[in-house]
Amino acid sequence: MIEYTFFRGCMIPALQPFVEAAAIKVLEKFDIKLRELKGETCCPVPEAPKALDELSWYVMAARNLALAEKAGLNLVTICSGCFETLEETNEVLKENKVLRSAVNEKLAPLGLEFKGVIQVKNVIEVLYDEVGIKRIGDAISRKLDGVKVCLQVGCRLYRTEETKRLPQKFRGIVEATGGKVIDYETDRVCCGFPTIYADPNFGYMHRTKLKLDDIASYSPDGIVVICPACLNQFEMAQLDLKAKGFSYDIPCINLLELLALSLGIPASSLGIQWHRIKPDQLIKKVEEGR
Amino acid sequence: MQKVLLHNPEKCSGCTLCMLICSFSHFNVCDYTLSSIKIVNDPDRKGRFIAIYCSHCEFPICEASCPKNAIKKDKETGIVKINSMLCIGCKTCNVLCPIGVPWFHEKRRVSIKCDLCGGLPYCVRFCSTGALTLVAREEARAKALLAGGLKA
Repeated sequence: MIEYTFFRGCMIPALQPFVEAAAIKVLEKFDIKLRELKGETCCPVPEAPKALDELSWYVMAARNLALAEKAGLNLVTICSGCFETLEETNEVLKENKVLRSAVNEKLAPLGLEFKGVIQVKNVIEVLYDEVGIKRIGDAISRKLDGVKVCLQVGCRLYRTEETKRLPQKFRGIVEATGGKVIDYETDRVCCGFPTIYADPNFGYMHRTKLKLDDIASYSPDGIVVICPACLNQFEMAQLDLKAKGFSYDIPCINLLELLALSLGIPASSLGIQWHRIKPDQLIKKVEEGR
Repeated sequence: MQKVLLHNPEKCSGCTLCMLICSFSHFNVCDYTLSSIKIVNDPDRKGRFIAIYCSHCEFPICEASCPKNAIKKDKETGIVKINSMLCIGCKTCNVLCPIGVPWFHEKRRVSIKCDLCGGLPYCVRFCSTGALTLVAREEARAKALLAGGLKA
């Protein structure tokens, strides 16, 4: 049994508890134990706090990493934003000794020290590299034949396209469930979430709507995402656009929920009914599968 | 060696974080109208984006055209900068720049343009997909020509 410290971030426990439940249940099925990271704070977000004060940003991230180091376990995160922050901090502080000592100076009063001895992993890496596609395929009890989905990889994972190849691995895991991945033209386009800093309406009309129009033309059963910000944006945008007279009703679920459903974990035990856009049709189709 | 911005449209997701961080780092507010880099839809390709930003030209027309000598190209770094204390807001640079980079700040009554944040631009550091990079001009030119199907 492999053990990890579990970093869930802010958005998933607060807004998408079904994703957290799915992550715990899916990884448990593959003998991966998640240990709670006691005292964790915001990762922090790789935008606003970093722009305000970079050293504080590193200190906060290093504090979370130091807590995981204290537990003596590698860290797994289910949020793309947390992954970027923690991975970047881990890599930068391992290399940059000057910055590391400045950070450790701030951590010392807390009784913590960043040593750079653990690895930060995205849940996709754990599933693809450690569990393996074959084992996932074998464990699937409801093969998702006939389920057509569009993927939303999200900006942050595209950054790893040439190094860790997370977008390709994401697709591989979805295909291992038997689901059919539909390629669409605007797949790389941002969901529109970062526009909340300035003009959310611009994001809904010129990013999310652009994607939703394209996706709707293929009439898929749903959109599969990995980033909680993308999930939030797709659901909020559909509600906002409905008020403006555009109706889509395309359910949007996390990769871990899709995996949980195909592994035979009942939807009701995850709390999937709490999605803003109800994925009832998608669940029905999955449960009817072989 | 002069370093310039290079935008790779194949990688850009149009998240506009570069625009937000540009306005935030220079004006302490996230406002698309106060950004010196602009991300616009590619009219020829759906779901692709073009970035409009300063090239910090070798022989800047903005510098040559400024009636107050408020624009100077730094001899060492090659960064072309507007001195706001000297600028009179005549907009000559706005009009003469071939890609319309300098823009007019209505409240401050001066022209503003990219200053590469003094060396390591915020837009490059915050680009979420890695589409924006800071490279040597020769490299940028070779890559751009290659992308256009031409030889350097």
